Amino acid sequence: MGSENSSFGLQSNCRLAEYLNNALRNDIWKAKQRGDSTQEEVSASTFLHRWTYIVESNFQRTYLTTPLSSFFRASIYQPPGEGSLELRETLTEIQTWVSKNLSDPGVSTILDALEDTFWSTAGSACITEFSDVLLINLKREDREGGAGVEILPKMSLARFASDNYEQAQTELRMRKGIHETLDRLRKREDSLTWIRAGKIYRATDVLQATIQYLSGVEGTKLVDVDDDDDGEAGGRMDIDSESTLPSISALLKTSVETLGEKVQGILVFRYG
Amino acid sequence: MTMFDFPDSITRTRPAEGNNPATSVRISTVYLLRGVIVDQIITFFSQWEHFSNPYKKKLIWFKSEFTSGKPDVVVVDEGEVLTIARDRGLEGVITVYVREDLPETAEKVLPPMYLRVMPLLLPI
Repeated sequence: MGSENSSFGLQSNCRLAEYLNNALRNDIWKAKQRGDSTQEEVSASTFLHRWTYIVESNFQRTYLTTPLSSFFRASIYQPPGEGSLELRETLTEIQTWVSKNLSDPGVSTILDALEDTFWSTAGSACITEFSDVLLINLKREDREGGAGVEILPKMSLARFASDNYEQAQTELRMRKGIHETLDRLRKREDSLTWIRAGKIYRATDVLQATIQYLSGVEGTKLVDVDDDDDGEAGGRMDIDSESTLPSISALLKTSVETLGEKVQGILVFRYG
Repeated sequence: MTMFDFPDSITRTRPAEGNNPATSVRISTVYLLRGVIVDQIITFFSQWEHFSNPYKKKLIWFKSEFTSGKPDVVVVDEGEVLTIARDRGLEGVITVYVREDLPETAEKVLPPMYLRVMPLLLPI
């Protein structure tokens, strides 16, 4: 009995291997290119993707009791939007180009790279079916070596799930808004800052110092120094040559407040 | 407020089939790094140690290197895997992630023959 089982198992294994081998070879010869892809070579992910399809299509000839539909295959969906088409695909590998914006600062992770791929300007996609095994191919746009981003030993792809699509898109728009605001704020601060002799001067600091100085001297009499230089006797007796400094510190304080509002009030303006 | 703070699982309903009623299935969205293909020379792969014991369960990492024509497989730290994957690989790297809730087949390891207790056969 034991020998019969072994014999049957060996025979079955051979049949299965031969069947898969032939199916893969025919499959690859028939269609070298997949969809819009120009990649003709049989990569690891292509092999696994096609292997899953072949096994699923005829799993009765294998030891499997149910198809391995989600083992190497994830399903993604991109809803139609402005300038983007509706897409439905199954994939084994997510090919991600890591931009210099991500690799240069050195603080980005694989999740940031995936966000760029899933939530590109062409449209936002989501995962409708999660595969058991997922390959992620990371290539740097600057052609430098390595992934260019931190590889996480454990990561949640919940933000890409179709179940969380609407909320993720809302939060994505909010994050973009905050980034734009912070960028504007930085530019505004740069425009209000200048450097003289290696020292940074900020418009608000200069105004504060001016106010402090003027509040000490305003209301006092202003003497025309040039009149003294003329050397004419009795020049200081001329009451018309003396004038009172105007009270302008209040105006300057208003200016500082306005400046502060311009610098810090952008967030309030945008988000109330 | 933390952005993109979603639960680590989703629930899907399997439709009723025959006599079996519809069931809810919880699917984890968490993936664990289990392998890294750096290039044709260096590949990292991992294996669970003490898989069934949650207190001792640990992922052991191996590096296979084919520099001198013969395979060289050594145990490495996870930190080395992450560092090399970030910086090396002329054509980028391929990371292999496996879903956290995927059941793994754990082979039952028998003790060596000299430690096994054979059933006592009594003469009738």
